[in-house]
Amino acid sequence: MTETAAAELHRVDAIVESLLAVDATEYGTQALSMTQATFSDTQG
Amino acid sequence: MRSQSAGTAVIARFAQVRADLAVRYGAQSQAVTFLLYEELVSMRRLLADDSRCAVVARRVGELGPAIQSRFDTAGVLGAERVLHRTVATGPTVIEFDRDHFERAYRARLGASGRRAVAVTDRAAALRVLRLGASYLYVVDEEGVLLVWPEPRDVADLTFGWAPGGPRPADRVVHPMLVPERLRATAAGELVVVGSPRCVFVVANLKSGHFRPGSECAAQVRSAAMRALRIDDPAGIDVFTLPQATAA
Repeated sequence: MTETAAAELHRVDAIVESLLAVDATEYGTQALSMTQATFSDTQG
Repeated sequence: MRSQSAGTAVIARFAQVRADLAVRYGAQSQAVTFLLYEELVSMRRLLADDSRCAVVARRVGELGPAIQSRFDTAGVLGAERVLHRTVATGPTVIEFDRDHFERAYRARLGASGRRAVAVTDRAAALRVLRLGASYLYVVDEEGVLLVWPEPRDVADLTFGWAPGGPRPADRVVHPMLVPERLRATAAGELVVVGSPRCVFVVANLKSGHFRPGSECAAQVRSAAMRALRIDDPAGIDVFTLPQATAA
């Protein structure tokens, strides 16, 4: 296992945690389940 | 050999998480798309480490079309109001509405105390950008790559603007990167991956304010190649979005 690969495996764990954090929000499950993409900013 | 097996292990771990997400949120969900995007960032990082790793190179070749296909078929949410217009073609130049900018974003820009940074060479870029982090960018009408010097994680950018999500009053939006002219030839998010010796760029055109079309991909690709001294266009992934399908 290379050092970079080990770091990437740790990153996958962090990604899973970030998704759990999104899912725990009020809007999270709906956002994660959407098929349509959202923009990185919206007009406001 | 060592990097081949390491690459295989990372690919397998992503596949395992992807399968779980597909069950929980749906195979065509944004959760799965997000994970594919993150996997591409990981694969680019591994490839920067060992450019001869065939299993990783092959996976990079699979992920690009897979992610683009998902954007193409799923569509995007429509704009609440149309506040941009195309003012030139060849290349396309998009201008954001000046009145709206002054009313909605001028004070926010002033309060931020920051300005976008022009990326002019790789060393300067790596002083401003954290490898692997995501940044808002705009390519202006002169072809200059401008980035907002504040790293974001991809999850926040992907889901933070979903319907019902938070709308922080101080959030940076793409027109704030070009406040003088409010013009862009490309705008979205980018991640610089790799090392000072070998960098790749994963970018998209997800600006909700400029709504760049797929033809704008060439502008961000060439701007990133110039700014980061990347010789091979294959080192830059650019994902485009289709026109909005629903308001």
